[in-house]
Amino acid sequence: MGNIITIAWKDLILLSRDRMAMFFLLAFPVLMGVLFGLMYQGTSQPKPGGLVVAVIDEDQSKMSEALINHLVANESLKVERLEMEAAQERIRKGQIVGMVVIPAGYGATAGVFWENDPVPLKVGRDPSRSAEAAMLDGFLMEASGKLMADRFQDTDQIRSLLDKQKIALQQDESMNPLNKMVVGQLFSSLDGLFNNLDEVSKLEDKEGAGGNPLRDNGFQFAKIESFDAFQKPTNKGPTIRSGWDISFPQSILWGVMGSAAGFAISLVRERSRGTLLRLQTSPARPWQVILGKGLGCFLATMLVLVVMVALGLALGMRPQSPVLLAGSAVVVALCFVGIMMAMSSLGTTEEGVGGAGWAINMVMAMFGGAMMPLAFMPSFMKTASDFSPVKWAIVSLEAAIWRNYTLGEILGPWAILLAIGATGFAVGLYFFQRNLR
Amino acid sequence: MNKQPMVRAIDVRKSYGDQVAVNGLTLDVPQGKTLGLLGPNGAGKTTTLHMLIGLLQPDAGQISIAGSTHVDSTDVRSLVGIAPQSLSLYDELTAEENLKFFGRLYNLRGASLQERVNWALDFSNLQDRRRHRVQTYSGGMKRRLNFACALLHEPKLVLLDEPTVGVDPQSRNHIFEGIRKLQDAGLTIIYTTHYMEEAQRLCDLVAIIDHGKLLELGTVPELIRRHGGISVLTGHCSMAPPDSWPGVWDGQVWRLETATPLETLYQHSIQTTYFTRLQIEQPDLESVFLRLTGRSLRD
Repeated sequence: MGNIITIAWKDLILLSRDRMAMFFLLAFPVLMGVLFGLMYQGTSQPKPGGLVVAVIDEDQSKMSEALINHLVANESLKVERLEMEAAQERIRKGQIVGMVVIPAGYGATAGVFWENDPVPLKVGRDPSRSAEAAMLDGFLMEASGKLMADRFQDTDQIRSLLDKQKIALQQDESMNPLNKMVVGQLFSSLDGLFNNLDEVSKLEDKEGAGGNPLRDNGFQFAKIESFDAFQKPTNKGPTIRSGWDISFPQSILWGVMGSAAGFAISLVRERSRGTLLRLQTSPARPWQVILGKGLGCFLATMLVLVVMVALGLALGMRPQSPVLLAGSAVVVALCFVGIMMAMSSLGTTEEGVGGAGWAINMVMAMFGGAMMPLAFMPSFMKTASDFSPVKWAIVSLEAAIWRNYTLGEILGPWAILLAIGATGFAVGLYFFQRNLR
Repeated sequence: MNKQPMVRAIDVRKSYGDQVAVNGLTLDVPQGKTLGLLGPNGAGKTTTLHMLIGLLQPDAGQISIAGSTHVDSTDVRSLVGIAPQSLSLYDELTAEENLKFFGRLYNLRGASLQERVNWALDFSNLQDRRRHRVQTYSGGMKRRLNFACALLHEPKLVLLDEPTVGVDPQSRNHIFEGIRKLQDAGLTIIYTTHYMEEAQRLCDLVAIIDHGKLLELGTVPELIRRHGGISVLTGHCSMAPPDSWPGVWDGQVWRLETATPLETLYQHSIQTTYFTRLQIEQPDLESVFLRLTGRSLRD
């Protein structure tokens, strides 16, 4: 055991004196963590004014103003009233997601649910921001729904529209008589509804509690509420408490991969600079040399994990299960010790192992979700990600930080990581011993 | 007195595919003696050394160190120190850290480790640079530290692979002094070098290897006597020498081949003042090597 610790300690000292290695081990993951953390800051709570959109009101009606007010009231939007040319210029420069043109005549038909040929809203979008533009479409639909509710709350206005429509219906000779009868019955029903509303309103006025029951009772066609999909009835408090909860597992993996690549190179460097010969001719056995390297890599990886978790805690990350997080850290470190061993067998020169090691890291990171969240990946990449240890490492860390896994649930990812690590270790050990002969 | 040789190789063979690296090597290195291992590049010296320290397994034959055939065992490895030709040091560590690291691998701890580290720093004359990183050292300083690392655990057998390659004369002399001290302390040394004068100066025994075969083994005088040829006396003079003198005169230079040049001069009453310049060319290890291998050591 003494030789193993001696070799590991020596490697840690060497590592601490390699500025570039230390950068990739600690500084780079911190930068990644902070960068991704800032990107994900809106994950736990809606970010006010996230989508900037221009509105051009060519209608200047009560309803167009109501539509704009509904958009302004949406916290996810920042609405700018602009002229057409100014809006186009802002889109061209990528400063806003798109623009909504409210054409003249819009107010006459807006929110009238029986209108079969309403004046359309026109939306111009930045083609490179299709996802955000789709969100804008959703917000417009939401605001249009609210306009419909507004129509029902103003019974005088809706009755006036209804009267006009009834006259138009009677004069329409092209309509099928059967259809005309059905629509006529609908209009009569609506007439009855509005008469009843008026009676209720007059009655309540006499009692000093007048008003429109639809409006006063907060009539809405639909209401959407958000809830925490990860929240279990037995848990207290929100699960994702900050963007750091999401960003740090990814960032930690960059440090872990840096540690594995660095130690893989160090094993080859022992050979190229001749110190391996001294190790081989010393009383230390080959397996002690390997385990010493592995222990050094494990400790360096744990250092990355501890520093990153400490930084995450300072920034607001709150792991759901510190015990499972500690377990995940150990398992992830063991897995990447094995990967380090396999990487070290990829070549006989530092350049070869370094290049191949980072190439493998990049592929593992790309498919494993360290570069791009798995949710944003196309389906084939999601399938391929099952073969990346980075994915399982991130899942293990997330499981303890915000996914609320039980011990039984986390054993699966842990087993996969340990299997990958053991395979890598065996492959690396085989090639190391073969190269010694 | 223990007659058991420190190193014994009996009909050792090693091949890499079709290429024979060592072909039936048999030799003994007595305890306390220094063996020079000479051979051109590719002669099989490194393979031989690696088999002696257990890094390579011979295809056939037997090697024993201090009587043990388990040359890769922990006990035997503790008896052996090696200074590889490539500088086997960690550049990012200081001299003291390098020595402590290698010392710990040989199970040195605490005060005994510190004592040996101090000894090694004195030996390599690096006390004042002990806390400087090796990457700041000159080639000679690194070579001395490389040598000292091999001696840290007080081995009985030291393998020095080209220990003076690329060093300045001062460091070379320092290494020679060190080797002398080891010889005085009774250590057995196996020394490979490209410099004949070093082997001639330092080695009790010289083994000449080529194409994996041991061509000759013996002391330097023995080898010269057996394979060096005879000395040549050359004298420059303006007048023809007397007829009583042996040798030939070509009108300017008188030349005589003899195994005993000084005795010959005395026996024939040859007056050395007769010559403007008189030169004795004695055979040396270089001529032995040339005669045995047909090529220079640096080929």
